[in-house]
Amino acid sequence: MKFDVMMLMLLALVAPAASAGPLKLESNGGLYTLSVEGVDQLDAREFHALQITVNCRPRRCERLDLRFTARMPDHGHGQNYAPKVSQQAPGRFRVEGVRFHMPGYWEVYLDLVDRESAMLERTQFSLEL
Amino acid sequence: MQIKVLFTLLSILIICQPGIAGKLEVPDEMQYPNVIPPTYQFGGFGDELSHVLTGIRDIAFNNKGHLLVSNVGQHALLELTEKGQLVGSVPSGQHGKAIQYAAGLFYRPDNGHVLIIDAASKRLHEFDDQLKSVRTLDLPQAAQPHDVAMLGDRVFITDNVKNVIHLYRYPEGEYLGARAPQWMGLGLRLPQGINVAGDHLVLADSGNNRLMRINAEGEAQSAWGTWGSYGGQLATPVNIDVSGRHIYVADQINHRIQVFGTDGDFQYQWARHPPTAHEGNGRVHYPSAIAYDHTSGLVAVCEVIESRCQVFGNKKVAGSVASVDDSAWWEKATRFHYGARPTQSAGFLAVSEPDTHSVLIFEMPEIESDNVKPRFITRVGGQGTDPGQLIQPSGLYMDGKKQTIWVSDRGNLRVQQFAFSKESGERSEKAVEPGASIPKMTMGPGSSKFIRAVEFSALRSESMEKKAKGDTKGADTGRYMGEPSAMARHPNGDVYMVDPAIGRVHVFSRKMELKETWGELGEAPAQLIKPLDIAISPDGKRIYVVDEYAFKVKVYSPKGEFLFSWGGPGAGDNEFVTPFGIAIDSKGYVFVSDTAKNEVKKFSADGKFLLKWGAWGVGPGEFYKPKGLSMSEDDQLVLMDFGNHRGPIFDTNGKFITMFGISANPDEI
Repeated sequence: MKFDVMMLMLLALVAPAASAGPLKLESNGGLYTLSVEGVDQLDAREFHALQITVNCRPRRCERLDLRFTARMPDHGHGQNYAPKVSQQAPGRFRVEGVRFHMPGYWEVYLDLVDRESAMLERTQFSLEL
Repeated sequence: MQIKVLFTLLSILIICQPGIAGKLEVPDEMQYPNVIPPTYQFGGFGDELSHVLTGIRDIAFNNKGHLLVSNVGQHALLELTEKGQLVGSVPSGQHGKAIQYAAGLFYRPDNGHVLIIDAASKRLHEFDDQLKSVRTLDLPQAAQPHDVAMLGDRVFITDNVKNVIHLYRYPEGEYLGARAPQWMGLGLRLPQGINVAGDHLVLADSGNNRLMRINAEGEAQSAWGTWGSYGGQLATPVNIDVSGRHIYVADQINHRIQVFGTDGDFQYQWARHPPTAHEGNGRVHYPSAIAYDHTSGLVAVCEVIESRCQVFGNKKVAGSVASVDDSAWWEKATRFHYGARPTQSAGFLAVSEPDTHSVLIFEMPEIESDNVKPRFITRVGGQGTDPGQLIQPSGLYMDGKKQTIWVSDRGNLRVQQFAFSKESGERSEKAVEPGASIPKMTMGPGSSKFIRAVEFSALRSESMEKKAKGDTKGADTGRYMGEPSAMARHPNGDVYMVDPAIGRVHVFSRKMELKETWGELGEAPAQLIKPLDIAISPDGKRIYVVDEYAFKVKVYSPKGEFLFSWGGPGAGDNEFVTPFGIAIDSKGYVFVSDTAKNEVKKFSADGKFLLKWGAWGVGPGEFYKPKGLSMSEDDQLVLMDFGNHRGPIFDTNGKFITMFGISANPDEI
């Protein structure tokens, strides 16, 4: 059975004590697995923060950077506020200032860049806010 | 047979088209106010001059009111009257200095001389007003010299590989360095045409779809334009000329001419894409060169695809279209445009479209007759610099079984990988379930999804840094990428890519990791000048590379040892005028397309000429500047008939089977 984020947020409203776990994702090319904390708190217009942990094995996390973007493909635009990404430890990132400035369908892109090989690999998920 | 009827009509239209300067018919379709009949028109299909005008790269008027033409097909500098009469030329081999690959030119009004670039030998030639050689300047610092302008005692050479302008003191030849002007934080991307505008210069920053004004030091003073089709917007501006008050721009993919004030303010535009096959008379098809005659006020516009020039009376044009701000054709058109390079794998066909900055993907049914066509699935990319977007995509490698495709993203200096799905319908989406197990990648049908990219711009910076520090080994480890281009898969799973900018071949693992690089830039038999396409023999023992500037096919071992070559400049069976695509069938036969000759040639695996087919035209089996080739696993050959915006399919003996892309209805392609 699949849940989308909106359903999870509704569930969170009904039972606020039952905190959902991190969102676990596989990158589009399968190089990385990611754990994203804070997705269940996201809503439109407010500022939020996300905590992202990358499992790099068998690669090394020391040389990874993260780029965070989000777009509304139906509207052809992205966010009007650029989130700030900071690395807390190899493979561990905090994204602050995440703001989806209008409700609707969003696609979120987490692009991991290996500085050594210059390879960028995307991980993505969608939101209905 | 609707197609045959259409061809008949198209053929009649073309045959009826006037070919000689002088009497011109009114354009067939006049509802657009910016279609203005030219004063003169010469070249084009059926015109006796067309064979002379094969491969027009640049033009300029001299002080006699004659048109100087840089012409790659003739390896020559031509002088024509404004009506198209040939009055002089510098053919290949004269004056002790051959023009191998004629590129940009600049007319010096101070002494009547002309400067012309030879892109293959990386030289700048100067000829006097009698077209006698005056001097030659080597340009070893330029990776891909494209156009030239002279201001004071300096010449400026645009380099669309290094994305810089090279400055030389002239005629001394002292190298003053490369300039990388930026405006609004954005540097040059695929710069092309450059010209003088008073005490400064204007250049076409083609990949950024803008014009940039620079001073004599090569510093940016302003820039204007953005990608689009409305007045003042640009789609791959390629060539520029300047009158006293106006800048004339060949806005190539918008198929029109735009005029700006010298401060960049949009003035007016004229011309549109032809609605019928290759019509001239004020319609222009990929305008590639433009020149303004200060004496007569005439504006010449040449179209490399059509081997044709149209000459407009500027006062007449300006008076007719002064207030027109009309969107160009391509934003409204529903038809697919088709582009440079096809590839096939496991029942899928993909075609790169530099014009629309995207890649089209088709499902290939079992094609046995004219009634069966490829079925369009999805479009990948779109113009831009973000991951998943493309600027002038070039080479492709597709794994049809895994439904993934690699795209050489030329303008962004990277290779990108996408997944695609052949069904149609829902939105692309990835399941999200916090706390759940890791979901597999899911994808909506009929869609594509960006997977990854290797960003060679980062590697290039690293390589340049090392070189600057004196670490020449580090600068030459093979991590330097000049231009990502055509690709081919080796039977062992590796992917080979040619690099036209630096004369090399890069080898990638199937995970897109750069494994090794071989090849050397140069004119020696084993070296490569401009490798343009690549194919690999079925047993994997031979790597065949089309070297455009050597006019040859060169053959190497998988480790880069030179084995043999064939070809050379010329129109003979074993020669090439402008070779482009290459493909190999399951038996090892080699097929090469020749853009200027409108031909496909078949050779044995050792390079022995066997047969050829094709001619200039719009009928089945006829081509208009064909480009890439692709062979399917069951030996069906797809050719990109670029100028006709379609893809004919042949068997390995040149027998026409079917074609796609001529209909405006995507369901009928």
